[in-house]
Amino acid sequence: MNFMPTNVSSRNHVQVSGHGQQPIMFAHGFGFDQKMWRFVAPAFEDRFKVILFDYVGCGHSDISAYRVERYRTLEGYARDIVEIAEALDLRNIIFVGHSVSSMIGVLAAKLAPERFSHLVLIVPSACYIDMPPDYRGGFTRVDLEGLLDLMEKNYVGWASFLAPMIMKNDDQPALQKELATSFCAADPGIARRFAAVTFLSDHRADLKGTSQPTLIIQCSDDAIAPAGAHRQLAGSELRQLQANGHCPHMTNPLETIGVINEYLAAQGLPRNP
Amino acid sequence: MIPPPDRAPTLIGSFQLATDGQVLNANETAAQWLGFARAEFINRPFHSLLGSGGQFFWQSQIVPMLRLKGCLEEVYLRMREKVGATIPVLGNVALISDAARSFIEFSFIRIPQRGHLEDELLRAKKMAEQASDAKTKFLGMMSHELRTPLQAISLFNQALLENAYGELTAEIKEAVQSSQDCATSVTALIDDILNYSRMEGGTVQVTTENLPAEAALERAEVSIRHRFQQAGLNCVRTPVESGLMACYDANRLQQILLNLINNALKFTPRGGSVTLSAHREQEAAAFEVTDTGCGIPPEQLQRVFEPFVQLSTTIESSDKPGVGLGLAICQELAVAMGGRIAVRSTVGVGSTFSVLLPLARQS
Repeated sequence: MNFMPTNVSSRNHVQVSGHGQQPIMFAHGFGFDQKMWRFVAPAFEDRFKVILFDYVGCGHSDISAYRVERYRTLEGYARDIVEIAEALDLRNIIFVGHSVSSMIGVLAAKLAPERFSHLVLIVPSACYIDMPPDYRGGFTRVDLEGLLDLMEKNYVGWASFLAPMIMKNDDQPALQKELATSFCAADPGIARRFAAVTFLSDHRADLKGTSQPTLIIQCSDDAIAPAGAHRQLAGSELRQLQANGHCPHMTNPLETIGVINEYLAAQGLPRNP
Repeated sequence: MIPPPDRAPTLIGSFQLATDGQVLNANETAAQWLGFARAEFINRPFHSLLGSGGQFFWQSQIVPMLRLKGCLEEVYLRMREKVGATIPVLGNVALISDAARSFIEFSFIRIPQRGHLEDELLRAKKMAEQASDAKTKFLGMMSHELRTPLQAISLFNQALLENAYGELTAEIKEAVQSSQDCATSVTALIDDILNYSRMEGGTVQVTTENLPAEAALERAEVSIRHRFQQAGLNCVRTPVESGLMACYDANRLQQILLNLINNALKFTPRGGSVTLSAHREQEAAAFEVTDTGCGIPPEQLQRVFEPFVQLSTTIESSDKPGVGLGLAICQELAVAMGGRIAVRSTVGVGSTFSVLLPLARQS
């Protein structure tokens, strides 16, 4: 039986580790869960309090807490982040968000600015859809609807092949269990709605309201969040990685850690009381 | 890397890619299917050969997943032909590493027929979902519109019965009372529809707290005792293990229990009995309503919680009011409280509905 979450911590499967005082919170991108940070997050545990979590409908979150009304906009997900911060009484949070989580972090920082000190946004995009003549998001609406169809078709396939894979690799049961739950663990309905919210919304106007110092990390040859599409954030620094693709924290974790560390050091972080 | 000779005909297209996604090599089949010369593939980013949704998908999902998992099977993609059209393909993709190097192997087949069918399926599914959403919205709106005039009817009936418009004869009073009974019953049906459409819209709210299990049974029995006398049935409440605490929303559980008891009343012949009990069942508290009614045939047992399902039973049920939403609502409420409802039944003997809810949380 899946019981109701007793609190925000179990709703979002919040995990806290590390030896520092200042919190650094890592927020995963669409289609994954907190385990996508496993090549990066441990590198911060010596100096920071590391916070990992799963969005409702992903990973080990409590799926029964999913409410269509709440999660029909990214703001619903942002409210969850603020609630995590409140539940753990976190302040001076360094928020690290990948892809869609970049915008969720921006929204959370607007909802509760007093709790966030810095934002690190990895391959962010405030709007994926082209808005001619002035804005290039990289995709037409038709492209993005094609993407949503593709995701939907593939989730059906993945759901059916993941189960037998788990039994085959019984020499590494823990890893298999992790993989089975990390990729779109949620029901396809939730994933589909999350995808639609992620890829079809336009949050360019929200970039104007943030006051936190921000690091934007872009990749080379990223088909999804093309460099230059996103410089509207006042007071932000832009760093371009050698890494290409859309998930540098997984494909090039060392370079990603290096860039974040360099930025934090320059900002005089961690700031421990 | 110079492509090795590849003259043997194959039915599988294949690409070898560098880990950064650049094409190292492709076979002749892949070249023919996509209308390229093999050499034209070399050093191209692989995602440029995919339809635009596919580029996105490849970079945001497949590449990181390969990094986590090593291989993926049955990946559906659309690949771009040189002339610009896209074809649906199904592929397996693996990250292959040995001491010398790492590369990505992508093998695929064309699936034009299956791709077409899948497009149709997806279209049909979307239409069904839209229809279902529209139905939920319509039910919500309609119920609301119906409820308002019904309230007016009830108010006038009440006023008439209280002689606000002058003393009524016994005959007229009886007629107004009948009118009022009908209004009450229709209001209850509309409330069911409204509640259910709210739940389908995901707006059901519950507030759970630790409470004694026995309190829920006691409250239900008190509020419905008079109906047992009318129906000529016995109500039995069995003692509950002392200290059994569950985590529930008292009003929501009441709604469920009263609904289950009302059903039991409807389907149990005079002289029968309805038993209310509660016990610990593994990690849950089970609240049970057991009747000595006609029972539910096994083939219909799984359907009782589906919306708009009314069972035809051995007892003539056409005179039983309802739209078949009561149990669907109960199940949704139980799920919202972190539990569920189960049923077991024997035709001719009776049925037991178990509301399984979390045990009280340790603070």
